[in-house]
Amino acid sequence: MLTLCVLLLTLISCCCGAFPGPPKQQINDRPIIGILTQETEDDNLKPFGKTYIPSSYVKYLESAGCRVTPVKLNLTLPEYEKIFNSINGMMFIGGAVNLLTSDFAKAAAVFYKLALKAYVSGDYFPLWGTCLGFQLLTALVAGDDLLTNATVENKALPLKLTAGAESSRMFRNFPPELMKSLSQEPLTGNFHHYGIATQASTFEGNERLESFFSILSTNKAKEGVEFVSTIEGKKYPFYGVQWHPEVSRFQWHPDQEFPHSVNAVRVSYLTADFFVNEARRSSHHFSSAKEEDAALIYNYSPLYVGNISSYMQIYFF
Amino acid sequence: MNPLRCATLLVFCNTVLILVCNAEERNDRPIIGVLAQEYQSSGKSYIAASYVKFLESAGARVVPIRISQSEEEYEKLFNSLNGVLFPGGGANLTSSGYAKAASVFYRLALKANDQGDFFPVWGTCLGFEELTYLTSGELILTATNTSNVSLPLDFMPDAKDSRLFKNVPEDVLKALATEPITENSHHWSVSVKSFYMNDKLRNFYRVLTTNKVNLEFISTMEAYKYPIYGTQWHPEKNPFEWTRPVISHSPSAVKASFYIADFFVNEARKNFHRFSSTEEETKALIYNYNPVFTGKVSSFEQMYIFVSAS
Repeated sequence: MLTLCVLLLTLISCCCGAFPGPPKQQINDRPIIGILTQETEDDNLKPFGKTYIPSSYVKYLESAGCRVTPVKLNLTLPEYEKIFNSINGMMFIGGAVNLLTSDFAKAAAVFYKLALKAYVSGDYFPLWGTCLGFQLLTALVAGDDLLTNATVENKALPLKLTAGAESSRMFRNFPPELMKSLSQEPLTGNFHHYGIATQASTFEGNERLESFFSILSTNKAKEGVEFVSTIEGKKYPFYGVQWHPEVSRFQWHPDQEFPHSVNAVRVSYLTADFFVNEARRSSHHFSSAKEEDAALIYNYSPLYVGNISSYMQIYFF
Repeated sequence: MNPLRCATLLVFCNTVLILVCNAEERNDRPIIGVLAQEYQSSGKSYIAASYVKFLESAGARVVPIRISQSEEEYEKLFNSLNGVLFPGGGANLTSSGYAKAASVFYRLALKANDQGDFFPVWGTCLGFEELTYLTSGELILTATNTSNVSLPLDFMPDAKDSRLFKNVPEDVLKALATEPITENSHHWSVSVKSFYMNDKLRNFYRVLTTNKVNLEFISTMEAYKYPIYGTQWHPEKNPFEWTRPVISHSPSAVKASFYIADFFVNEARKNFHRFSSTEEETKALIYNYNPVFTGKVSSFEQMYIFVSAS
């Protein structure tokens, strides 16, 4: 009888362990999110450092209640694995580097693979890609660079939301009036010459992309092509936007069409709020307070670059 | 029509036009001033970075208002800014550089609002107490055991229809009313009893929320006739300060912080002051300074520290 009980108990525990699934509850009220640094490409900015992160991305994440750590390029795999196991999510910023060959892309690929693997064993690790970062996510999933010419340069647009957008994980907690504004008012800042076209050989024609991501919004480029502007993983907690939610609150160059309306500010906050809440589902943490302190971006000071770039401040590494 | 009548009519029409236009217009590039205060007795002054981040998170830019400036300098700054925030801290409410600067901005704000120039003021913790002092001319604080506690807010009847709270989402209001998310780090409070016994205070401010620790004290207020607001609690800490366990970092605490900032920044969007030039504006902004990482030695993660009095 005792043996039977023990056997039954063991069977039950094994079964429970076999299908852990991602944690439904947010368990971590002290999330720390990594932002991958990127090779400096702008000639005006190269003198200040080989790699950079504009402060607008840092402020964007901090504003929704997390801390930020910069993740450097060209580290070893064990170093990246250690970082991965210490932080609760990763952001891939916008910029102008190559989607396949840059150091940025290669480091991103490491975190992408680690995040995929982690999810399967119930370890939730969300990824967010903005602009180039979004394109990078599609390249990682598709295994290829699927960019098309899709120019929306320095222009704020509403989003053409898909039927599934309102019930998506990303948008379902947005107030309905704000969703309406998002589809009617120019609340999303666009600064890109390339994009991922919705049809043909790109998104909808690509099996890997189609099965991996739900399209939440599209927009139309100068060239007339319809491109994908917002995505979320059907299963995996990976999210991407071709537009820049962080500019609405944190970038102020007078020549740039950054949307600063009340609704643009709220959309910017709520997208950050969504992603940080995803990161709260990760229980990763640094192995000591000392290590955590040393990793935080508070250890760095950004440079004021408002006079030489469209960014206000940039962290250089 | 005689020339005088014509001129009067013209002026009248222009005024109406300006008022109507401004009513629909909105300043989408608001810049809000934050008062610095003495940093212990070091001769330096400081602003905790969380106040700056709080305002930036709702789409404003920030200008630090240094202590020990002349009244003319403050007036020039006032006419360039779209709002002012009096932060928490430990400065003396009557004699400090902080108090003197607060007094100038308070007086200028009253005058401006009286003349139809909408200028909002926000006071947090010490700043809230400073507002009660500036309005009443008296210090009416009572000691309370509230230096390390997070509480829900006790809303007065109809407080949810106040200017401050009416556009805050229902779920956030519910969280504020039921979850211990508002951080209290004050040794003194304005008791409800003292408040209502003071004619000037009770006629100037509407009490929106109270709390009870030892005694019942005012936790949130808004002026009846002016865009002047105060909280004894700290909405800026939840997203940005991580050193003290008493600070709630729950999703609702962080969201509440945003919507409070959102409210005040939207008040500042109703003001159309501008710096006299882009150069003046760039020179004044807090981007000219970098905060120091003080999280290991202070209750603030980061602090802007200003070295000289000028």
